[in-house]
Formats: sequence, C-alpha cells, structure tokens
Amino acid sequence: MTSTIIKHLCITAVLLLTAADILQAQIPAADLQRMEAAAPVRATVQPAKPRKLLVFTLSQGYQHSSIERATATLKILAAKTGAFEPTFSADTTVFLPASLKQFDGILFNNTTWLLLSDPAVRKSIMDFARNGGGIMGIHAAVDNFYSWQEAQEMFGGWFDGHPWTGDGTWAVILEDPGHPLMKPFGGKNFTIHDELYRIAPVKLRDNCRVLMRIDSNDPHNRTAAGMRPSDRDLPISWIRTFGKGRVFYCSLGHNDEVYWNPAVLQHYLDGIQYALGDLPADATPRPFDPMIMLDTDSLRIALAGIATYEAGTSRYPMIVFDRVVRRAGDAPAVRTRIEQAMLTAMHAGVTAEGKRFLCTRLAEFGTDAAVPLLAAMLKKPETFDVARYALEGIPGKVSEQVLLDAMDAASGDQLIALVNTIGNRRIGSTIPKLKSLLASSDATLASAAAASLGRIGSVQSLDALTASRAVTSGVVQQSVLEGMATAADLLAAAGDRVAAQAAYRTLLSAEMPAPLRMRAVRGVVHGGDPGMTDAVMGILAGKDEVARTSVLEAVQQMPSGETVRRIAGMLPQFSNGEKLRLVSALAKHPESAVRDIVTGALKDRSVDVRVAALKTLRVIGTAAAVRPMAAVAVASKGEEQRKARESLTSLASPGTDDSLVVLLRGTQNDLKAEAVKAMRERRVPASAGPLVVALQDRTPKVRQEAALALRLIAQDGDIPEMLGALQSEKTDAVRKELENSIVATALRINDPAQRDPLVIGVLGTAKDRENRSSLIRILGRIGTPQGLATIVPALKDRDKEVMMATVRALSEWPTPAAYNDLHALATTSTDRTVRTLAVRGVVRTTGLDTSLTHDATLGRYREAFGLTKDAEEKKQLLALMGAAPSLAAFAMTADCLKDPALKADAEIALVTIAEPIAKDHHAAISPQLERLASSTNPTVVERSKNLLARIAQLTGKK
Amino acid sequence: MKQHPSNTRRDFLKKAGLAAVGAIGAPMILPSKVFARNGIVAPGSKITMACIGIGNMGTYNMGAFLQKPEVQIVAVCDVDAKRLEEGRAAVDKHYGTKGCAVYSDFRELLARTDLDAVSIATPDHWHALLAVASIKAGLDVYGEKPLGFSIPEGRAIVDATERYGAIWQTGSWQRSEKNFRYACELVRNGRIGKVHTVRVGLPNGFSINDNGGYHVTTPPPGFDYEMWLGPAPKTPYIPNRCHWNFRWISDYGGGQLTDWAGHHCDIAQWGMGTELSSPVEIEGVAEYTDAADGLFDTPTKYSFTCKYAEGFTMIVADRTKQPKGMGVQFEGSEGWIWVERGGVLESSIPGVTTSVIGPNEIHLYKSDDHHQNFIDCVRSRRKTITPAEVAHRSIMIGHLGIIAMKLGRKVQWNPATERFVNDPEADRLLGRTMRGPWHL
Repeated sequence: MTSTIIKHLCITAVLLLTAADILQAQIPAADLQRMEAAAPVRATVQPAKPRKLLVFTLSQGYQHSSIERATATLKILAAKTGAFEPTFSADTTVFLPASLKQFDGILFNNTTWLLLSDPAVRKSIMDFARNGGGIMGIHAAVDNFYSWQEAQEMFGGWFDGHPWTGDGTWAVILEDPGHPLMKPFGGKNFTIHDELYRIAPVKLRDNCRVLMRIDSNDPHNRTAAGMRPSDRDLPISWIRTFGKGRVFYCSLGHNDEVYWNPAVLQHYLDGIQYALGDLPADATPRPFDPMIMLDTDSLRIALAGIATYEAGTSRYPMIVFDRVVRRAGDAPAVRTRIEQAMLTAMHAGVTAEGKRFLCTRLAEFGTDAAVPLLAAMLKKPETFDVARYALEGIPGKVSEQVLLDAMDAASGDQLIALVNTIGNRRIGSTIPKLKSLLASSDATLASAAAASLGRIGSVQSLDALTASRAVTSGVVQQSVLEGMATAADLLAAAGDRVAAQAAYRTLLSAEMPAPLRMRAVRGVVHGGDPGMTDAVMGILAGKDEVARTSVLEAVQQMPSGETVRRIAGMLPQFSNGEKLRLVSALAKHPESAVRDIVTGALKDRSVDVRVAALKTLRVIGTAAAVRPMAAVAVASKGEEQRKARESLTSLASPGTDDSLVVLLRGTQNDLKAEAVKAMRERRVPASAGPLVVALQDRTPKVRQEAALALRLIAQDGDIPEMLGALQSEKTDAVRKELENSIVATALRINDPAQRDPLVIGVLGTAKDRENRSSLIRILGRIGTPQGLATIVPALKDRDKEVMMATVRALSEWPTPAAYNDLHALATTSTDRTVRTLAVRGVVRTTGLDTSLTHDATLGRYREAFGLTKDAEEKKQLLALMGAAPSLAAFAMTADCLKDPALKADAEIALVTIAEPIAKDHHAAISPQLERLASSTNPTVVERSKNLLARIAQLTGKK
Repeated sequence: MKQHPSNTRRDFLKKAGLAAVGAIGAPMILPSKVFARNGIVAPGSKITMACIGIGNMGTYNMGAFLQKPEVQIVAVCDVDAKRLEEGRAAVDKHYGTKGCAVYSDFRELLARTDLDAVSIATPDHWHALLAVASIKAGLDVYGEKPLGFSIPEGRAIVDATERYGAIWQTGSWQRSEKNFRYACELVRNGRIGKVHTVRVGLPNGFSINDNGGYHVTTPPPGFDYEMWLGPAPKTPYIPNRCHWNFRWISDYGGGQLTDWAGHHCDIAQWGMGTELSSPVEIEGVAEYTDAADGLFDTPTKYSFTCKYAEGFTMIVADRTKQPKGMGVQFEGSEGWIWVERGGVLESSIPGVTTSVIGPNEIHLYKSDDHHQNFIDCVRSRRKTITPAEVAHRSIMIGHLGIIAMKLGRKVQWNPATERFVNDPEADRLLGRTMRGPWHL
C-alpha cells in the first residue's frame, strides 16, 4: 500500500516537473536571465545535510500567476546555492506520512483556497511541523485553510484583502533591521512595486517575530483605496517556531519583477534556510508598538489650535484632533498619552468653546485621570455643564464620587443637572438624597428627582416614589407617578414582576391621570403578570372607559389564547369606539373563534366597525369569509365596498379561490359578479376554467365581467372556448370584452405563428357579419403576416360593414407590414372614409417602420399629407406624428407651420416630437425650438424653453 | 357630516375629566392648571392637531394636514416668532378664521386639553423631548425623521409610544409612494432571488442656506435661541447655526447621513423584512471637511458596510460611491432592483418591474398618502405604516455608521440589547448628556 503511494507520487512528481518546465518555458528568457543573475550565489549557511523541500503548487481557488515565477525562482535558488533540493507536487496525498517523511520542509507556493479536508492529511502536516519540519509560504500562501483554524494559526493569519495593489509602489518598514533575515535589505526601509496583503491575524503577534511591515503612517500608503482606518499593524514577513519546527512567511511576490529583486530573493533563501533548520534566527515574538501610530506633532498642533478656538472660526484643529485620535487607535497606552496631552493643554488654558469640545471627547474616552481637572471645572459656573458631560461619560467610582460630592454642595440649576446625571448613571446610593429632594419647593428640582428615581429603577427607588406620592401634588406628583411607571417598567424588564405589578395596580386607580392609566394597563398586559386575565377582565367589567379602551388596544400585544377569546366574545356589549379598537386589535390573533366574531362584525350597525372588520379579516380571514365579504361588497358602496373588494383580492388563506368558484356557480347574480371581479384581481391561472364556463352565464353582466377577467388570466388553451362564446354572444358590450380578451390571450403566446390560426380557421366558416367583423378586428390587433393575408381579400367584401371593419383593422395594424395595402387603398379608393382611414394607416405604419431612411420616411409623410383633402384631415395626421417621434416627423410637421390653418396644431406636435428626440438630435431641432419659444401659445413657449434649457445642460455638461 | 364613533384620545381624556399634562424633563410652568379641565369642545368630531416647529418640513406637514377635512389645526408652536406668525397666518387663512393659537413654549401648548395629536418637525436634538412629552400628554404624534437624535433617544420615543399606546407616524413618506412599496414587494417575493447585498445611496456634502453668515452675534429679536438650543450644549449664536443648517452640526444632527437614512435605509429595511432588526457588524470610513466655516462637522463623504445576521450585507454610502447614485439597489442571486424617488423602478431582469404580486404572495402595508395614513390610524388605533420602532431601526443604521466611522474600526452590535458587543468604548458614543435642566 505505502509503496504504491510512493510509486504513484513519484510518477506524479515527474509529470508535474515536466508541466512546470513547460510553464517555466513561458517565462521570457530575458526574465529568466534576470532572475538567474539576481539570485544569491551561495547558501547563507551550508546546510547541515542535504535538504529536501516539498513545494506545493495546487490551487483550489484562484490560480495565481506567481506560481510559475516562484517555481522557477526556487529551482534557480536550489541550483545556484545548493541550500535545498525541491520536489514539486500538486497532489494532496503527498502530505500523507509515508511520503512526507522524506522531506525537511513544505513550501506553499502561492496556493489558494486549499481545503486539505482529509483529517489524515491535516494530522500529518501538523505532526510534520511539530516534530521539526519547516513550513514556508510565499505571497498567496495565506489565502488558504478557511475551514482549518489550526493551520491558519500556524501561519499567523489569513489573507484579508490587498488595498496596496500591484500597480503601486509602497513604503515598507524594517521592523527588526538588525535581524539576520533582514540583512539583505541593509537595515534600511525601502519601497517596493508589488501587491501587499492585509493579514487578518490569528495570534500573529503572540506567536511570530515580525520582520517587516507595511508603513501604515506613510501618506502614499494611506491613499490606497480600501485601506481601513483600523489598518495599523500590517506585517509583511515573519518567522516563528512551531513545536520543534519553524515557520517562515513573506507576502512579497506578486509582480514579476519581485523575482529578480536581489534583496527579496536573498530574503526568501534565508527564510527557507531558517525554516529548514540551517540558519539560526531569533523568533521571539514582539508586540506591535501602538505608539507608532500616534502622530504627536499633529496632536500638539491640534491642541494648540483648540486652546485658542472661538466659535465662528475654523474648526480645523478639531478635525485634525479627531483624525489623530482615530488613526492612533484605542490602545490604552496611546489613549493615555492623548488624554495627558488634553489635560496638559486644559491646565495651561483653553477657551470656553475649546473646553466644550475637549469635554465631549473626554466623555467619549476620558478616564479617571481626567477626573480631578473635571472636578475643579465642575465648581466653576462657566464650566460646570461641560465638565458634567465628561464626568457622566467617564465610568467608574472616581467620577461617581465627584458627582456625589458636587451634589451635596450644588443648588439651583446645577443641582437639577446633577440629579439628571445621577439618574442617567443609575446611582442607587443617592436614593435617600433624591427622595428628600421630592419635597423641594422647586418643582423642577423635585420633578427631576422623581424622574431620576424612576430611571434608577430599583425596588428602593420605587418605594421612595410610592411613599412620596401622597405628600406631593401638582406637577411634582405627576412626575412621581411617571417615575413609578418608569421604575416599574425597568423592574419588570429585570424580572421583578411582583414589585412592578404592584406599581401598575396603583397607577390604575381611577383618580390617576388618564395617560398614566393607559400606561399602567400596558404594564399589566406586558408585564407577564400571571393574574393578567383577572386584571384585564376586571377593568373591562368596570366603568373606567380610559382603562377599558387601553385594554382593548393592548389586545394586539397579548398572546393569543383564552384571554383574547374571552375579550373578543364581549364584542357586542362595547361602544362603537371600543368595538373599533377591539376588532382592529384582533388582526393579531388568527384563530377560528376570533374569526367568527370578526365575521359577525361585518353586520355591525356602525360602518366604521364594519370597515375595521373587513381590514382584520383581510389578515386573519379564511375561505369561509369569502361569501360574507362578497355580500358586503354587493350591499355596500364607497369605502366599505372598496375595503370589501380589497379584502377579497388579498385574502391569502388557502381555499379562497375555490370558494370564489363556488360563489360563481351559485344563483345570485350580484355575488357571481363580485366573485368574478375578485378572480380578475387575484389573477390566479386556475380561475380561467370556471371563468370560461361563466361566459355562458345567462346574465350579460356576469358574462361581461368574466370576459374582462379572462383578459388577464386566460391561457392559449382557453382560446377555442372564448371564440365559441364570441360566436353565440349577442350583447355588444360583452362581445367587445371578449374580443379584447382573445387578443390579449393570443398576444401572450410567444410564437407569433401560433397566435391566430384558430381565429383564421373560425373566420373561414363564420357566416354572419357581426362574427366576421369581430374576427377581422381580432386578427388586426394580433397583427401577424398570416392574419394580414387572411383579411386583405375582405377589403372587397360585398358586405359594407365587413369591408369597413377590414379597413379599420388595416389602419390600426400594429406592424409596418400593412403599409402596401394601405397605400394602395389611400391612392385608389373613392370612398372618403376609406381613404381617410387608409392615409392615417399610411402615416402610422410609416412611423412604425424603423428600417426606413430619414428621406424615405419624409417622402412617405409628404405623400400622405398630399393625399388629404382638407385641414381637418391634416390635423388628424399631425396628431399621429407625435406618436412616432423622429427627425423626419419633426421635418414634416415643421413644413405644416407654413399653413396658417395648421400652425397651432403643428406647434404643439413639434414640441411633442422634439421632447423624446432632443437628446439625439438637439443640433437639428434647436433652431426650430428657438422659433417656437416665441410662439403665441404659452404652453408651446414653456415647453420649448424647458427643452432648450435641458439641451443647454446636456451640451454644457459634455 | 358623518358621525365617527367617539374614538380619539381627547374623547377619553375629556370623559375621564382629566386634562393631560406632559411631565417633561424641564421646568413646568403651569402647576395651577394640572388636572384642570379645559372643557373646550372642538368642532364636529375632527382630530384636533397642533404643529410644533414651523420650518421647512413643519410647514409642509402643516399644509398637508390643513388639506384634510378630518383635521382641525388649532395651534402652532415655534421658538422663532417670525415662523410662528407665518404658521398662524397660514392656518387662519386656510380656515378663514382667526382661531389659531400660538405658543413659543411647547409646555404651554401641551397643557391644552383639546388636542388629539401633534405634528413635530424640529431639529433632531429636540425630537425625543418633544415626542415623549406629547405622548405623556396622551397625544398621537406625526414626527419627522430621523426618529431620535441618538439611538437611546430614539428608544425613549419607541418605549413611550408602546407604553402609552400612542399612534406614531414617522415622516418617512417614501413608504407611501407606490414604486417604493412595489419594489419592496418584488424583493420580498423573491423576484431577484436571494438578496445578498443592498446598496443605499444618500447625498454627499452639505446644502447650506445662508441665514446671515458665520460670525458670532446676538440672536435676532423674537428668536428664543436659548430654547432652540434646549438640550444641546450652550454655545454662542451664529446665524448659520440654526434654521435648516443645524443638520450639518453634530450637536443637532448627523449630516446627510441621518437626514436621509430615515428614507432610503428605511426602504432597504422594508424590502429586506428586517424592519425590527438591525445589523450586527458595522465598519466604514467617513471624510470630514476642513470646516473653515467653523460650524459644520458631520461627514461629507461616507461609506460603511453593515452585516446582518439575516445573511445579507447593506452598503450605505454617499451617492458618489454607489453605482446607481441615490436610491436603494437590492442585489439578489438572479439580478437587481433599483428604486429611487421620482417613481424610478428598474431591474436587471426583464418583466420584473411589471410582474403582478399574486394573492398568495407577500403584500406589504399599503398607504398612498402618508398623512392620511396617520389620520386613519388615529381613528382606527392600528399601527401606521412607519411606527416608531420601525423608524428607530431605520435611523439606527445611520447612527451605527456614524459611530463606526468615528471609531475607525469594525464594531459588533447587539440588536436586542441595543448595545455594542463587549465594547464599552463604542457604547460611550451612543448617547449624549442633555444640557441641564433637560432630561428624558
């Protein structure tokens, strides 16, 4: 077994080497020469023994172009220095112990999205590394192992984008210039034209010695699109130990030229020799120094600006300050330094507006260190409030104590402000003090104390409020009651329902202000009180209309169940306003007992209640509601009828469509018509069958509604029956709807050839003039070539009505195909009506024909205008021009301006044509538009001026 | 005239014999009137309303409510005497009477006992105080977006509406435009497959109304600057600080981002069905101007990415950074839908924008008139199309973006607790201390 694998692997390796050689052959010879020349001439240290390096080249994701370059480079390095002997493989079984044991190291050559999901493979690699093997990665090698956290941690992280793209030149910092692996770079920071990675670290700084990194302060590096403000520590290259083994990774190596950069090649070699165990190097991890990110110069300048900042002058120093803080990050050492700088500046003297700014920032990230200064500021009236903002924001006991001390000394507005802050911070130790303030003669202060006790939201604060209820009055008492409600809400949220419910019961008593009773009802309903049912039933049985109404509104937030059913059952005994609320609230309770009650409300005496019931049924109704809703639609008008129909249309319950069919098959014509209307609006394909049947209904109204509904719903299979119905239909209005529906259904057939054969067939056998005319009209509107060929002979029909139907069908023909027949008719017919229709058809079909040249179109228009006999006919043609806007239509219409009888119509037609074509033909139409801008018709003037302005904008922008 | 059932708030309050008085976190000036009965009966059974804030949107909303026969506007309130008089004149002119009362202090207004509802359209930093006070006075509210100046202030409004059972409509009127609703229905019903990304494009920069310059001076006569500032920090008066431009100053608003998140982020949430949810991870970058004007400090350019636990990403950015510019673009596995003001609705998939929403598909709340929807709900006591909780979640996206961009790093958010995940530093950016003596 093992030997088979090895044999297999050897073959694979040989094949791959060949493939790699072929790929290598694609690298231009000149490049290979440069790579060869740039490579080190000897190993940095002589290997202790011959080193076998497994170079893995499989990519399961993006196939990286650098693979061939790196492969060639490794071959060159091996050949020139003898530091290792590479074996290339793309077969994951190479990692199994039997083959892996022959190697000293594994180098992942720009592999991407490797899964290596075989547990045996994973274990083998980990064992290999821990037992002293070397693990190496070049460039894309960190874009792997997304389901293998252990391997990502071994590498130090994973690829998280490359804002520093390969077309840029980026600044690199040698974090460890004296490190042996940094020797090739001569101890100097450098720039490189390459693609650099952001690494999402996995304990990178805990385990790895970072050697170099992207300079995150470099102004040009910062211009990289996609760089995040949080991009600070951006390692490029690092080493680490892993068990008895070693890891080397370098993210350089995207651009071709990197592979003939002597320093980088030397670095690769050194890294490989480190990982193979030949080159000793210190891999002790070192933390990233966050202070590097703090731009102390800018901070100093910003603070100097803030020190003298006055309202109405530039805010630039603040913008800089915020930028410095944001860029520096939130490392404690950095923040401490910034805070110290702020405090130093404030000690030295800052304007009032400057202090205001700095205090808002201290509120955001200040610490205990700022408290002494803020405490001093709190003592001065002019800085009291801004200091309070900062102190309220700074968490902890130190700031709390300052606030408490200040409260002892404060009075007036300052005391009120401190009371507010105490409440915001929910400082429980102040409850006795706050309670005593409830008795203050300053109503504002007492109210603030009540509100703060409420926000503290403890049993003690609630008790303090409850005890003070009786001894307060007026606005203070109002605040005490509201404080009680707030405390009760907070207690209920924290799980103390007993205390909360007691407060709600107190607030429910009849002498309480109405809004508070409303609030208390909701407290009872939401509070999860086990006695909720008894409580709300008690309220509903009582005389307190405010509380009763609130209960009914709150029904929507109650859990469905017995309580809701009981309340719903009481519906008939409520007032109209209460019914309205209850029926609305029941929309949240889709259960059958509730449905029955709401359905019953469809017959309520109050129209508002009935409408509310319709709205609720729309949400919770089932198919059983179809008939009662349809009955309402029949019997009502106005909003109620509209709501009834909307409800029928949008009722989502299964079986609704079946119930509509049942209604349709019933005996009541009004209900049938409603059912058909609903079917039309619902557009359910399955309704087509019953609707086709309804085309034979005795009542014309039902037949007409059915025909109308079929326009949207019918499928091609319904056409024969619809044609059948058409033949026997005697009512004109129904016939018209049927024609519409047949046309609409036919036009839904994708293949034009399949749209009208049935109609043509029926026309062949139809005898009476009504049917023949209908069928000709239908064919005209479907507008296929075979339809045209079928009806043209009817132009000579002896029946005048059939003949005229044919002329009209041609005149309205939807494609240019009817042009020739129309032209012949227009030039030869002696009948004035026929000729007029034909000329209009000529103009229409010309407008439809986009294949014509400008001149051909214009020629046809001119001929058509020439065939007209008077101004009225010409005006009709002008009206048609706007429907097919083109430059030719514009030119033809412009010609008509000369005719005084046509001028007014032509002007309107011209602006109508001009609007859609202005974008493409603005140069050609602008002179004419400028003339129109001085027309005597104000509408024409306005529209042409608007258009000219748009054109100016269009051309100006370009 | 049709007799409506007696079902407005005022009816109960009157029947209860109790005047509603808002307890607000501020000096009360009417102790003697507390619990007094006013006894004024409004004409018919109309909904009596007052308008607080007679600026740009306030005037617009007032005009819309004046057109509603079911509504009687009885009072206007503003801290600027000039605007107050303009509001009064408009109301009286419309009704042909001289009955419109004026208030420069909202506390006096809320002491009235004849109100059913208020329309609030003030700078953001006043929203929560006014809304909560109005709700505590037993009123229903039509409130302008953004819901809250900050996330905790928005939460206070939501809690108040829920605790007092108030009807709340937010001025996110795009919800009552057909193309927006239809776009959201198409998305919800899977017309573009499973949505993985939503792009929200909002305006960049500022649009400044010059009210008289950038210098420190005394407020004009009739303008109660102290009250205008209210809970915001005390700072010298500058003409361009207040009307209209307040929104570009972080003491009073959040710039274009929070001015517009209540519209397009709101639509994005609607389309994704995450109206009661929020992103869990937010990260982005903002640019700020060099602010030589000395006033405006909100982001002028911005882009941030919100990841949702529901499995999609929302990218909110100023228009220059979105392929479609302004509007909302839903990107699904099958194609995209883009919706924008002016009736714009486009899709990469032919036929999608004309497809019919079947009866068994998801139909969204339908409103064709945002103000009418509020009035209807005041009567029916149903939720409006943009209740406070929904508006709170919409603007939360904007607030979270501002915080993440200010910190310059990724933040994790817990939509349930409305706190960041193990991130006290970010939590400290959530709210702001109100100036004494104001509190919620």
